[in-house]
Amino acid sequence: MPVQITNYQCPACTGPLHFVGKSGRLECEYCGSSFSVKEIEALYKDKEAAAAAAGVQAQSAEAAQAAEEYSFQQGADGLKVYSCPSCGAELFCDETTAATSCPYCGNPTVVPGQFHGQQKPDYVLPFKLDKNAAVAALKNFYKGKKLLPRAFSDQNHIEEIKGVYVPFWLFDGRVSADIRYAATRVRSYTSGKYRITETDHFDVRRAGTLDFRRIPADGSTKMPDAMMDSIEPFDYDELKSFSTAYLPGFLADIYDVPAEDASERAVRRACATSAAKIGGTAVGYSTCTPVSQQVDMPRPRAKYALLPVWMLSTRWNGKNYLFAMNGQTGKLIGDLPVSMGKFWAWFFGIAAPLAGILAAILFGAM
Amino acid sequence: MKKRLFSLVLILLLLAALLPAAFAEQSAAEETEAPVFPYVLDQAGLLSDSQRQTLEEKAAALSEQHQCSLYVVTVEDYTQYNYNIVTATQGIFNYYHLGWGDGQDGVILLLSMKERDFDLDGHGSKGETICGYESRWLIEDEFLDNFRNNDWYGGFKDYLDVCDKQLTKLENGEDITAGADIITGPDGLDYHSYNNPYASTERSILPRLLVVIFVPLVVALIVCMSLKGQMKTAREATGADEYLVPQSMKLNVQEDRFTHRTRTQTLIETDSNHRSGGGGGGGSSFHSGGGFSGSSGKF
Repeated sequence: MPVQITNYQCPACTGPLHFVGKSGRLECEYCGSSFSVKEIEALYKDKEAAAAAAGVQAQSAEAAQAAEEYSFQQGADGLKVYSCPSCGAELFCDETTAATSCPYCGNPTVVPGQFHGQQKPDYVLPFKLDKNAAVAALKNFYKGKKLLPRAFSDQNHIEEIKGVYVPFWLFDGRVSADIRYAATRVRSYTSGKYRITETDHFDVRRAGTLDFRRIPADGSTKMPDAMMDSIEPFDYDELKSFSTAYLPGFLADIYDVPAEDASERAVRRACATSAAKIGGTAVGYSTCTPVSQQVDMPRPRAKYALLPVWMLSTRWNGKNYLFAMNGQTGKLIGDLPVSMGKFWAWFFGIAAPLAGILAAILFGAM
Repeated sequence: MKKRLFSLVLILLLLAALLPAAFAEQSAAEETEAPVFPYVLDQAGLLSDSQRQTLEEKAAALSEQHQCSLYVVTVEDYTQYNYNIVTATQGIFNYYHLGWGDGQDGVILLLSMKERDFDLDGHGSKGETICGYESRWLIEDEFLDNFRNNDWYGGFKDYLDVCDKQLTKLENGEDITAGADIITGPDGLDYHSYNNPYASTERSILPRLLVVIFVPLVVALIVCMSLKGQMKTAREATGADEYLVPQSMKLNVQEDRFTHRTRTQTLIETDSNHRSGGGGGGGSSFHSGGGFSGSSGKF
């Protein structure tokens, strides 16, 4: 069976190569050699092409066989099996896995066939921050959280930390908005013994367009949408044309949420912002209430990009806690456990003294 | 002297405007005397004929029983007769020589509908006593709740009943101020506990107790929920402000069309109208002098 995956190995010592965000180069852990992305692209061009062709061939075979019987290499759980070119071990991967590392020899591996045709990303945003930065960010994240159980931070061990290139759709589009408001302008004055309030009522209409660029929506069902939204924004100035040479040392998935499905979220966000911006132009009124609105972003254009995310998971009291860090900016988010003991301690610690002070003020003068 | 003349002119105006019925009852021989004044004079038209008749009979019977006349007068706007409702009421009483016997014992309740003012005045030993500083609250309490609900007949009936009750107590030598709970507010005015706006801060423990209990709980809850909110940081985005291309907003339509104007007017609460009642539920002011004692306010 032709080799479908590529190990990026050091041309000097055949040690595993990793992309290092700080230097922006691929570095060898063993001999310390480093290579630019272009150098590695040139070196592995033929290998990747062969692996990609093998991958496509395998996919075609699978498809043909699947028509007759259940896939031979694609089990009921949707796993794919690859053979590590370095040690020959079998790698069981998800259908969407595009980059991983061999659990036996540790060599970073890329599956070029996953990026064939329409699956090929337009851009990749390289990691800038490394694993140590992610660990430090998590520790820092715990600070100042008054309700965090002490045992969680003291005994906490990061179970897993992985750098993942998450598939994102970046949507461009123009929003057309036509909104009608019922607005009022209120004027009050006194006349004799009376306060007169005059309210002028207006029929206000605003219509216009707004352009949006690269609204992200993750294209992976594995990634919680709230987490991916919360680690925004990414600095798109550093986007690179896609190359697999940025992937070694990290995990990468291809999308499993098509652009058409992901666009709903981007359009909803763009429309909400547009309605607010358009509404902001109706100034000089005491109240301005939308009565009808037509806001839409027709035919958003999508670009496909891999964006860097560090995923950290911890386990405490039998429950998993997942954190995500923007691999470019270091913004870290995640949900933490709440110590109910600390919650009530704070609650009564505030309520009791305050009650005492109020009692002294309100009853002391009696 | 000028004031007296002024009052006299105004009272004459009142006579001309209000009392055609009273004039009608006058005989030619009595033309030089003041007209007979009914016990119930409903110039504002608040009562039906039968209600007015019932009250008239009741007032006449009680007046005779206690030898203290009980009057009810309603007008549209007392300012047509006098600048002050108390002066207007007392002017009517004096001009028509109202009251029972030589001592002119009597109680008169005047309602002015334009701004919902009332005045209660007692004259003579009995009238002044039951409309005294403390006992007048007991009479007010009986009719004000009805008037606030536009129950005119019920209010006048309660007024006559409570006058009957107070006069009976007075005749029996009982304490006519029992149950009148007077409190002096921080503004220096006296309030009945029933409608004292300062009762909550002066005497009642319950509201303060509620403040002591609930304010700390609410503050603590807000702080703790804020701390809890810090523990959950992953939220789906709702807007896309960061991705809006700068200066890209283009307005094609910008219409602002005036449709109509609405106008409301509200009576301004001032110290003066507050002191004379302060609107629904407010206190009333006490007055005494010139052979009268009583109170006035809003209903």
